[in-house]
Amino acid sequence: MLNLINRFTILQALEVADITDNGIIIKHTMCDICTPGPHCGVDAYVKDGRIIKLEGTKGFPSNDGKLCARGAAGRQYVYRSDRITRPMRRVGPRGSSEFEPISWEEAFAETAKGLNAVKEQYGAASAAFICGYTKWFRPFLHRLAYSFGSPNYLTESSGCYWSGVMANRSIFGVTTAPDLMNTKLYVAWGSNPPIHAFPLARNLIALKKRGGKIIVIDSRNTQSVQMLADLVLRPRLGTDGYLAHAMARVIIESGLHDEAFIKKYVHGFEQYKQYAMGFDLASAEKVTGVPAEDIRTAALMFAETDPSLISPGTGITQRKNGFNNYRAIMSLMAITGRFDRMGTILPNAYETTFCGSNGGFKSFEEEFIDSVRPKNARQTVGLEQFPLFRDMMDEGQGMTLASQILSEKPYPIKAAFCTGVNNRMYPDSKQYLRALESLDFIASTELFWTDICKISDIVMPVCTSYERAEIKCYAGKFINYTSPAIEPLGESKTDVEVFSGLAKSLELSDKLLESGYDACARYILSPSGIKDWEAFRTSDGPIPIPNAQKYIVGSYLEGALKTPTGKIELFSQLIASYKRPDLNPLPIYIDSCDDAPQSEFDFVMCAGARLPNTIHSRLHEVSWTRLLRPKASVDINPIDADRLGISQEDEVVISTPVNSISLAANITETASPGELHMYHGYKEADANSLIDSEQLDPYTGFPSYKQFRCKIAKKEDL
Amino acid sequence: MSTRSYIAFEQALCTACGACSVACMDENDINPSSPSEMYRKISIIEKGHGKDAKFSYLSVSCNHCENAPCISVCPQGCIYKDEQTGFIVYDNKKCIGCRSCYRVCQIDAPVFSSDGKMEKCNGCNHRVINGLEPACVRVCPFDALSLERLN
Repeated sequence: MLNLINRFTILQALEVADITDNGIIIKHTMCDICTPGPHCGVDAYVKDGRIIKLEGTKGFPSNDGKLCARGAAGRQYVYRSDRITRPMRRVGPRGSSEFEPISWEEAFAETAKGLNAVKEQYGAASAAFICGYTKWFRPFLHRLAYSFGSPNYLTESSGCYWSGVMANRSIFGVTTAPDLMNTKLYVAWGSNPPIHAFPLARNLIALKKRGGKIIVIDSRNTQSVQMLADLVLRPRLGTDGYLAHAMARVIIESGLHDEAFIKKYVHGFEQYKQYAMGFDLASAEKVTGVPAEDIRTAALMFAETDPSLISPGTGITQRKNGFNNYRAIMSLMAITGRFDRMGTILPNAYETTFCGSNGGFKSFEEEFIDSVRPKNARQTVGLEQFPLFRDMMDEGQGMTLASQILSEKPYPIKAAFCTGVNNRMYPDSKQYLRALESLDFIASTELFWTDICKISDIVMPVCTSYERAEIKCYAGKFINYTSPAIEPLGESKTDVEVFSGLAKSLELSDKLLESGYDACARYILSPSGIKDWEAFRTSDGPIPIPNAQKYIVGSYLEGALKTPTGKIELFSQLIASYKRPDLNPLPIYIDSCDDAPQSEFDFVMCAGARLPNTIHSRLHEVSWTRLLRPKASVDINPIDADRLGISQEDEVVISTPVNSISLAANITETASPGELHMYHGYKEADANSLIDSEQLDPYTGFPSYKQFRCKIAKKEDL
Repeated sequence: MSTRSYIAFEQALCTACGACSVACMDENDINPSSPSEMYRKISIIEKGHGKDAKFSYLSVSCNHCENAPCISVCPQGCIYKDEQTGFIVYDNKKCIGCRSCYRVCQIDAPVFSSDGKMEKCNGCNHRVINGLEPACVRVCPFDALSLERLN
């Protein structure tokens, strides 16, 4: 299946001092398998145009020579047997997998024809431009959508990252970043850094070495619990908000809140305090399952150690009360004055310099998108239902797309341009696929032959980070411009080349987008101060950014904050302005569980907590990483397994009112009794197919990936 | 004086993430059909329940023993100590797949691929001879693995 090179190629090469004599070239590139966070530097050993070995680049800002299991498997990922290598046109019925190869000219022309037909009949808004993985091309797709005239630029982040962004903005007016290097206490709340971001975990180990403390709050028993924690709290799934309020009450009653800070900088403290006083330790123990004494200890440890900080994971937000739980956690930072001060959380002045990476200066990325924004466009998908999302994010709420397609309300969506879209990332993933299948026209760009490709009319092959030149900023200081380590596989192009080609075929008169990645990037990054662009383009490694500004800690607090009151808002005036009974300006706590009857659906499932060997569906078909956990499996506590007569690797069936799936049982103390954990994206056991797509957080539209009722039984018992 | 090299393991730093296993397969160009065929294997051992549950994260491959029993037990003389590094290396051309080495190994280091011949971790002998770290040591995100060379 995998065209592996002669196993001794490297061996022979390395026996000679100058390895280049053996035709091996070491190319400095980056791994783009996971999020734009780390984008680790990689040395690709290339021989005869093929990658034969990968290693982390020593001295690189994020990973300093190291790689995770996913990145280390990059060679198999690049050469996955289901890589698409030619543009394809569907010739059989949708889903039949009957396709024929076509030229790029035909692919562009037919895609333009399909999109323009929908534009003429229904209007440009009836074509959705949907961003899946990876994320490196996001502003370019955004521009393509707007140039086309559609407001419907949608991303998977409307179910993943944006809720935390919105929570921070609602309180502080900006997103925030932990000042880990200067803190004395780090609270990892619902996150497991050794597995989801090892560069962060390396810094946490360094924190402990210099005498710092770590509190881990997680319903799972993780590597962070085992290796990093000085104190562990394991609340029941989704009760984080309750726990946070109980901690707030301990802090306020102990007089450990920062009254001077609150008086000067905080809005709504009295209402918040009154609300938090309703959360006593005895009730908190009952609801969260965390012993009262541990809640008290954690609250005091956090408030008495100065500086300290809390860093909540994204998973916190993927529940019906997720946005408010996240706000409740961050409110603890506000009442203790742990904001915009060394060792706490700092405002992100330039969080999106370029494609989600921070370069320490304001680029023209917003202008790049804004200058072609369609005028008098129809309401963007999902934004009527989610006004907070509308006012805080510049895109549609993609989690509601399937429902709009199926209902045609408030208007029909009839075409989709999909870039790396994976239906298994969406709640009720079968419904999402069904909805897209009903469209008049679908074009997809993809690396691999996915289910979305199978229902597409036109499929266009794109390439990995190893096959393209790409710019990325690091740590607000450095900027890197890679060169392709290898030629694009087959006839594949970079995603942005596809957008440029399509912009031409669509006759959008968007000269900048048509001129390609380098020209667009050069425009967006023109405030960077880079004088010699050609030298930068060929720099072969990160260079310092001339115009990067060092943030002066405390300077944001000195001026008016970017909230309606200009203060840190524990009581959100923006939310209050909607006057909607289901949206409370305070970070209130409600039980996030769905309405499925508890008598029948007696377990709570959390889907998608990170495993070390995979990221979404992208590595499930890569054998090196798959070997580390070969079977799709569900983590179940030994007490529950014992009660239900389930043995290790028994096949079990998990059911919700939406769907049933079967997979292997993994009996482990990772899961608390009554709770189940499994990873998503498996085609043979798709966790998200179990989730009700209507159970959305009313503030953000986020689905309940991480808390839904289900039942589990041994397959042979059914 | 005899030479010994081995890959030391500091368990407190291991997360069983498997980067070592993957880097090992990338280096050795192997594509095992089951986890038991990997030269370097990861595992998690759990003890205790509830708040007392303790997890041990492990990464295991050939120990490159000082007096490696697999060397003497091999009827074909496939396994030997590399003179320069002291790693326990092998040439499996003559291997008959009798699994004698497997039976004397306490950590199941020898593995058998589809052709029935023994394979195992050779300490990345070829890399070490050329002044490079073994692939697993090079990749480990938390430096749980390190190269030890004793003279």
